[in-house]
Amino acid sequence: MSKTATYSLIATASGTGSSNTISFIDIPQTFTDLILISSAQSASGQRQQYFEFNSDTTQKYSRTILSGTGTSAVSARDSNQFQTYLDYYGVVESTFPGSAITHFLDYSNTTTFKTMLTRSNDPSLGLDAIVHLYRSTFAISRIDIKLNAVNYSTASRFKLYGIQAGNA
Amino acid sequence: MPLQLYRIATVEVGSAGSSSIDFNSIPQGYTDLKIVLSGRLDANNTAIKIQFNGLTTNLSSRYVYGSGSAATSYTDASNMYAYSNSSTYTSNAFANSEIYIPNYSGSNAKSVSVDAVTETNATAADMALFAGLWNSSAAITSIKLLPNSGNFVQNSTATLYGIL
Repeated sequence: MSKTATYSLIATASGTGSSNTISFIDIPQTFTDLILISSAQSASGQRQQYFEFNSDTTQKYSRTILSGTGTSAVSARDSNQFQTYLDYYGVVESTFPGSAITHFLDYSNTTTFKTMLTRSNDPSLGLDAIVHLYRSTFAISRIDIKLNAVNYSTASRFKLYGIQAGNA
Repeated sequence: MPLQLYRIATVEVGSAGSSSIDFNSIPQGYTDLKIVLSGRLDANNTAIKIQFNGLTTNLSSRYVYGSGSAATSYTDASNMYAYSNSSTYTSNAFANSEIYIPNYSGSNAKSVSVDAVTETNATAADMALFAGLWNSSAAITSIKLLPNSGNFVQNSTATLYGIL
């Protein structure tokens, strides 16, 4: 039987001004991929955002980064990290919302490690294309997004979508 | 599960070509907007300006750019861009750009994410990732895709999607 491809909203969240954490819990395992849209603003200063999956803070995270600063192209690597950052130059500002889009590929697979692709943008500082690796075969059922050191402002918006691959 | 990605409008350029691709009277009932552009120009140019609400002010961007032989990054204090194929590129080949605008109807400044590639059977082609900013509190009600020079040729296509 054929299936219709869908792009479905799972959940939304907003910054409260009193927390640096946004959590998507009990993520349905019925989709093929996930898309997370972050439109974030900090309570103060330029700050980085990072992911933790399934409340896992062990050294299972790594990433490769391609960035532009407005004057130079930069590439960098992080490995054996306790979390994985969504940004390098495309950080969160306090005066306007930036944007970060993360694609979680095959997030519910229980036999492979998990790969994510992020595009993050700070028009005043730079932008990034990042590939993340989470070295766990567990399906991703929880995503925490955290802002370094300060709270998310109430202007921050987050949306988690599920993509169901359609059959021909 | 309901479909959350809605096609608002598609513009297909006809045989006369077009000096721009415009989306007007954009409904305000979505959360985000996405444009997918497949474009080719009749001039030796690849840059497509992205403009909102008929205005040319308060636009800026930073981008990382690759040519096939070098990577670099630039800042533009006045514009943000997508790409279309130049008239000098491989015949019948069109470039691709994706433009994503979260919270387009909100009262904050608008952050714009653009991924753009050209393609041609040559040693050099362009690929860029843009972080754009429209520093305006106004809701986006129209979007213009304007070539830096030249016109869109026939079969250039842009589709505007609304995302809930």
